[in-house]
Amino acid sequence: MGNNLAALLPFLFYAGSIGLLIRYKTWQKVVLLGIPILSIFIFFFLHKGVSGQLNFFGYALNISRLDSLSYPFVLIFLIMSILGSIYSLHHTDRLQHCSSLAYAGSAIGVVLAGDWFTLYVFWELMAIFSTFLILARRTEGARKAAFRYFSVHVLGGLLLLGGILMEVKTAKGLQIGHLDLKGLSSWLIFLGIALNGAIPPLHAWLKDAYPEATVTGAVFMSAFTTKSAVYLMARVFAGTELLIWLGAIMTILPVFYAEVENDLRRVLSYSIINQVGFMMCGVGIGTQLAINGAVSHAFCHIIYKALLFMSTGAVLHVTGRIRCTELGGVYKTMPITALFCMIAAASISAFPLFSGFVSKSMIISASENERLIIAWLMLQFASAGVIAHAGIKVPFFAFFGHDRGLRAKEPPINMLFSMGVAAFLCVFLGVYPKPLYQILPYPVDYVPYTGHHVISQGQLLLFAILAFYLMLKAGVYPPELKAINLDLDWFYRRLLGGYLLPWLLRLIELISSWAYRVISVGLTRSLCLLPNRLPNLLVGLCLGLLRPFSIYERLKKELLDTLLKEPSSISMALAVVGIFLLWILL
Amino acid sequence: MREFDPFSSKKVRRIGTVLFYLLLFSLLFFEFFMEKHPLLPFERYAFFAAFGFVSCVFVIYGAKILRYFLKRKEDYYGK
Repeated sequence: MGNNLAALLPFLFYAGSIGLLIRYKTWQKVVLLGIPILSIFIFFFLHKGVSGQLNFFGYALNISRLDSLSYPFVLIFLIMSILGSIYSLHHTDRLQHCSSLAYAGSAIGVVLAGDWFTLYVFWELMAIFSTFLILARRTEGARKAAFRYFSVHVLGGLLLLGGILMEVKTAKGLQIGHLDLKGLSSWLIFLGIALNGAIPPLHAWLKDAYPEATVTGAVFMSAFTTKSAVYLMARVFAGTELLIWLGAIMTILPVFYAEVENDLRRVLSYSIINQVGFMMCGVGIGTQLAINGAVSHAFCHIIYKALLFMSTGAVLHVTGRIRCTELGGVYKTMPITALFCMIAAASISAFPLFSGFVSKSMIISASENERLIIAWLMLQFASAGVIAHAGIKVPFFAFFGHDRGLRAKEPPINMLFSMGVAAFLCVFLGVYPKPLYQILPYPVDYVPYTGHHVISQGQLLLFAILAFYLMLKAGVYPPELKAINLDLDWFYRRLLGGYLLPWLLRLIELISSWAYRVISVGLTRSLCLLPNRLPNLLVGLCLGLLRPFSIYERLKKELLDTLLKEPSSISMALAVVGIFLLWILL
Repeated sequence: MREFDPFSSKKVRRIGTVLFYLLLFSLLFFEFFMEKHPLLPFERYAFFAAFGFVSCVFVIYGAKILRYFLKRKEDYYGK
């Protein structure tokens, strides 16, 4: 088989997405499932190498570059798109089906891209298609969240584009390669990727948007956007010291939020930030072991995080509830879903024999080998924090906890099947990590199951559980409350959209109405003072000239109405325009 | 609808608790046979157990403090 097929993979997904427009239920299911399965078959025949070369206005483009770093990411993205497709087989919402396939294809395109231009195009497509997965929930809250999500990602995309254009100007060519973090261009690229990777302080979009997505949409979203950012960081900024500290902070901060969050899918969103922190830290350490750790952790994380979103999504699907304050005790009628959720929870907590253990311990060992004691302590602290929120809190409050009398059925069979496959993979990779270790970017000389690893990790986790248990019994554990906790999205949802923008608009309103009065009234009056026929002519002319002003007034009124209805998103759009102007100036 | 409900019985709960404590003690016991890492200067007996316990307590109290300052009503950003 030729290598050029690799370049076709993203387009195969797009073709499937277009094919889904045909309204015929069986056909939809065949396409939805067939495209990812066909792609993975093609993928297994591919050789590593560069393909899909194009000449674009004198620049050499590479649609695909399959090498040891992109290989594991493409593979897990394909596996994930199969799992996600099976999970969403039961519904017939074409908007979701089309956009989830196209979103998966774009993510694969990002990971395969060999040059900056191709990357940028797929990057933006990924943002666009994922927005529809939020919109498809068709509630007012989801619509607003989708606008915010999209605005933030357009901003990130423009940062990336600015960086890319400046980088290309320096005549290094379009090829994606390692960059040092110095100079404006590399910083812009770094910020663009960091935004997609949800690195604080650019993380708030994630916890804002994912819980608003549809049940199946959130499963797809949990996998692609952040992990393609991890891939790109590993490709471009491996070994950047700043990433070690950003990653370590990133593992710790969301743990506190997750502990007092009411919406279970928002708990999981914070948990994504926490887990991506481990990967970013590994990328920052940059040794072979650390990069291997980051890649394998991304691989395992995608599966167990998807499983967590699937099982909580299943609860949302059958009960219509997702808040801790409204759930509890559903394990009695949903024991299989509860079991899958617990397997995912054990994996994310990195219990020995589950997948998180064989990947996370690589990153922690790498920090140990490099004598990064403070980072090591931060990562271990975060590991204990993971068990507190994702490991216990999610399964406990969803399935056990207070029995609120809900007697829900198990979800449809396709959901259960998809969860079952994901759960199997979690356990399989944990027990037998060799196939995973074989596809990592560097040769692996690492044994996860040593006495020290197992016993130290076991002690860390089980004594954390003991602390959780004792505090729950003593009543110290913060109770579930119907409340939210402010995060950095406050700055654009409240400060900018709620306070600053109305003031700014009022100011503009004031100035423009004053100017209108002065010009129209003042000018007409002064013209009337002139003698004879001339004034009539001039007044006529003047009124003609003023007509655009009245149109402007009407337009402005409409604009104001929409702005005041949707302040946060438009304010973000204003920021985007600002960045765009800045970029043109550059 | 058939219900699956083993965790309501006191017996099952008691057995679970006993097993859990047994696991904790066995982890502490088997540490005697574990080779130490020379890399970490502060690693003592039961370091990881203490670290895990303290971390979890710290996370929960930290979260309570965070909630004290940042908690808002559910409709804070509008419905």
